[in-house]
Amino acid sequence: MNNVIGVKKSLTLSVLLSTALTISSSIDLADERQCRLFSGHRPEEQEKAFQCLEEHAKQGDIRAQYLVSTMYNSGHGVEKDEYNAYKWCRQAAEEGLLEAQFQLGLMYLNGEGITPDDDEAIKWLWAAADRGYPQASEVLQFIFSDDFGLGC
Amino acid sequence: MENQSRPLFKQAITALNGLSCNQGLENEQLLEQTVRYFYSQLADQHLFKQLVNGSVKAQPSLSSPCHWQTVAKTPEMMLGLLTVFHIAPIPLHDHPGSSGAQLVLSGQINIRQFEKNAAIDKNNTIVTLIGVADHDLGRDDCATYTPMTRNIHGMSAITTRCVLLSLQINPFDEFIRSLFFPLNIFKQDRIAYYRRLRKDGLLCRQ
Repeated sequence: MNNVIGVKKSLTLSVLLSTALTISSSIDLADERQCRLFSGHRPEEQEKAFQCLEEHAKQGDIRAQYLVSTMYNSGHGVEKDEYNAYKWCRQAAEEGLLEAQFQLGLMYLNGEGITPDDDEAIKWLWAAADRGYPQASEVLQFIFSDDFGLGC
Repeated sequence: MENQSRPLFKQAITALNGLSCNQGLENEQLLEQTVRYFYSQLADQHLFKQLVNGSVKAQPSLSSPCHWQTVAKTPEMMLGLLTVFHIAPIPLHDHPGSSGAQLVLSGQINIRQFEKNAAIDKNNTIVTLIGVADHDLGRDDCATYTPMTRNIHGMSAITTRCVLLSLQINPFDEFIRSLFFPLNIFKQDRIAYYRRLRKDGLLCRQ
């Protein structure tokens, strides 16, 4: 039921921003074609998009939370802010968004907005990998592999 | 195994000495010619065939998602057999300051190549990359990269496993390399945002 509401909210959001931006209405974030927000638009359009997304994020839309996190990461529509990027990503991850769980794991490895914490990183990467997010498995394999760094 | 492959090593070094590393570093055509030359020199050698056979039969493991067998190594170059498994795609990664060529010996592989959209500061964790190639390679096909072109790539074996003869000139320090993972959110044409994970940061904490 929550998913249905989430999809409806995202659809509304897409309509709101369709003239300036293309935003996915799908909650399947693994498909990047379904989830694109063009970055070449004017700053004021990006700001408008950010404000709109943040509003939805505050209302509990986990997809909007993740989008807001990435906008804080990239500096689109808002000043770059690693802590806020972490905070929103964490919220979406805790709500179960796979992409957010994966990215949160990477944030913990990099120490973005927080102190690096390998245990937390592994926890979130495992959470995503366990639910079938393939890139999380790749990270777990490669970052701790002694072999990485040879001929590939 | 490196001791066993010493004759190959010696021959490969001799062959390499006949080529200009400096030229090869920037010249993708020469890189491809070089790795093909090595293969032509080694292909009929009994020991090399044994090494290839071992690579073709290699199994993935948790601690070793891809299989590597060194054939020759000097401070300036490294030649070896790389086995990539279908069940363990290699994420996007860079090769700082290094050039390379990879010749498919068996199986099929998908290689996606990228370049930096802008200079990446060592502290940047969010970067933009441009996709420059996405191709499926089969036996006898070759992919190359230089410090400035196609230096970031990811691989995924199409067949159960794929064996490549891999040449690297100016082998990089693995501690300074990075992995890149798509943010799957902002995309314009071939340019997209990626989160960068630096290998040295991880190793420093271990």
